Amino acid sequence: MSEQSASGLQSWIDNRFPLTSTWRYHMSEYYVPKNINFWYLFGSLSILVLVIQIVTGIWLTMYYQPSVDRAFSSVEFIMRDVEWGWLMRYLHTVGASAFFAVVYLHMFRCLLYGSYKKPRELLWIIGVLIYLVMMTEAFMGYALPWGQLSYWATQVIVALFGVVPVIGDDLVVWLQGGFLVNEATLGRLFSLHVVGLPLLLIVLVFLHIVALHHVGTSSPDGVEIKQNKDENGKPRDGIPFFPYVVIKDLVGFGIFLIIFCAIVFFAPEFFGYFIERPNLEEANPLQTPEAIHPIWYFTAWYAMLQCIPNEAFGVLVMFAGSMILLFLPWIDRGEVRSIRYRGLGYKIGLAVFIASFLILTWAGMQDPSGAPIVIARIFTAVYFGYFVFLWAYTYFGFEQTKPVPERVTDK
Amino acid sequence: MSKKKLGYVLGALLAVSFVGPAFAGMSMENPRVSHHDRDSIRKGAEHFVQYCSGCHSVQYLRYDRLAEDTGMDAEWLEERLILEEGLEHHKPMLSAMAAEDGVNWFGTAVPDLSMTARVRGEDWIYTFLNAYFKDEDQPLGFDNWVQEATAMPHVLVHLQGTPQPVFDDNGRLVDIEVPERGEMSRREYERMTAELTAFLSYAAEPIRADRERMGIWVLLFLMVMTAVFYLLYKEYWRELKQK
Repeated sequence: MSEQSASGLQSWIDNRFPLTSTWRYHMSEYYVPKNINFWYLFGSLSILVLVIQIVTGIWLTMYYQPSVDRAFSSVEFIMRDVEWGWLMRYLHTVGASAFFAVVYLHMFRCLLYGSYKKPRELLWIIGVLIYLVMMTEAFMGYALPWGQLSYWATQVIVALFGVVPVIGDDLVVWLQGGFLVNEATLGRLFSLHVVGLPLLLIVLVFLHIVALHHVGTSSPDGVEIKQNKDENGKPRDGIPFFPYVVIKDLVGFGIFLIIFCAIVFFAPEFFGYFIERPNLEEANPLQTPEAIHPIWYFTAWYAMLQCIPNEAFGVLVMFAGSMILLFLPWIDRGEVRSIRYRGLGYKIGLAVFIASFLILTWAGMQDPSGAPIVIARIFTAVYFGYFVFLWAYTYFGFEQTKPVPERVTDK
Repeated sequence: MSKKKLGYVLGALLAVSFVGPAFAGMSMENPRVSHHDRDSIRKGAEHFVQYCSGCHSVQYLRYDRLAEDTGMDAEWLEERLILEEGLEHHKPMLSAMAAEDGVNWFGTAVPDLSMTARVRGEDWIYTFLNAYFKDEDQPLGFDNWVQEATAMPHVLVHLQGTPQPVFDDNGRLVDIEVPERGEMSRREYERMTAELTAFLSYAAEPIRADRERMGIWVLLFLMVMTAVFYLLYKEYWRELKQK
């Protein structure tokens, strides 16, 4: 699409809107390191899942009724009487879990290759904000079917705000619009879930991509391809995003959709991990469910809350668990980005950190007594300990790094 | 105060729930009926109308949907399922009993069974129906191994015969025996309760069998699509590598 061959329509538009230049900047002349690997797929995938969530969410909103009396039965109406309603619902519920799965893997990639380091601190911070909004969005969506766990989880989460000093009580009443979780609460959750937070999420995703395309995609070697350009100003180790990365991502999309649809069509409850059995029973404020824990993507944070005897401190630790990620670019003082050239301490530390998150995820699913509580305490300490270790390890110069190559390495 | 509320909510979740616990030593049995087995679902629906729908509703299931999914017609609905004269076929399967009657007669509202198979599982329903035993201390003369002190009477006793508990030396319930069979043999009774389970399992998610049949085609399509993408990717990247 050079200027010479531009059609009449195209130049008409380009004079009024930066169509061709935007396309070039973000697609056909956005250069990406040629050796990006499997781990770089999850950013694109999370956009695919976001689109799935928005489209299926629009259809669900057409039939869902945000009232205490009708919420549960309207979901069953969607499941039984609305043409393809069951498919929309399962795509949406499995989509929620898939969203967290791909975002967790996307974040892991950042830790592997130091994608949060200078000049990508803001990119990382916007990403963490996306994660925080996603968690809020997912919690609110979980409340909407008004099953037993929806109701009781809402009780627990709203009650968390009661630990705020002085105004805690009033804050809880104000948030839930009454002295109990009620019709007003459900209306708020619905409105925020379908309008407020999705808007925020889309804005943040837009900013995330703007920031990404400004600083460029990181490489598995932690090498900046912008530092080595040819005579035309194009990075020697870069390939245009369109068509090369797009077609590569499409293969990834296909493999993802095969796994995703296998779950949607054959195991939409995913053995009680994506849709929990007690939540298929309508909310009953007079009967507490036998056991309750949040859905799998929250259980690591829930384990932190549960294992600390002092409630206010527990709430603080739980929020600190995700908030501390915002400061990661300044906690990690190491100059070398990629795990390929970092010290042994970093590799072991990262492995222990990931293990602690997985173990906390497991502990949050167990009955909160005995061994799981002790294990959760230990690994909460390990989780936060990682950041202390990482700072000390890099600040005091303990890290023995390997030399970073000048150019990206080929496979 | 608010801290108390959080403590109360978390505490309540740890407490033993109001649902009666199962007796120790009880293991759930599988009814061994496929959700693709339309005959069993149909027979289960017939049993349900005969023995259960007097008290229990399946409020989210419509008669005509049931007929369509089991390959039956309107005549079958009229003859075998719909007891109320002139009821439209698209109406849900509601029991004739008022909710307050359940409270008056059994001390609790009779639960709707639309979602039971998904909430508690097929195994639970099947085992429950096979776990009644004679207990004169209970108000209705029977207890249940799966749900202690159940409020539900053993409505199938004339079919099964009176089941008697078997205790070990420590007075623990270890087995249930039926010394004198009712109208059905053991195998017939187990078969019937399995069909009832199949019906309730269907009622909890009517689309399940169709969803799985469809899923195979969806996955086949996606595999072909992915293969095309892969070939395209190879083609594009070959020219890239030649540079």
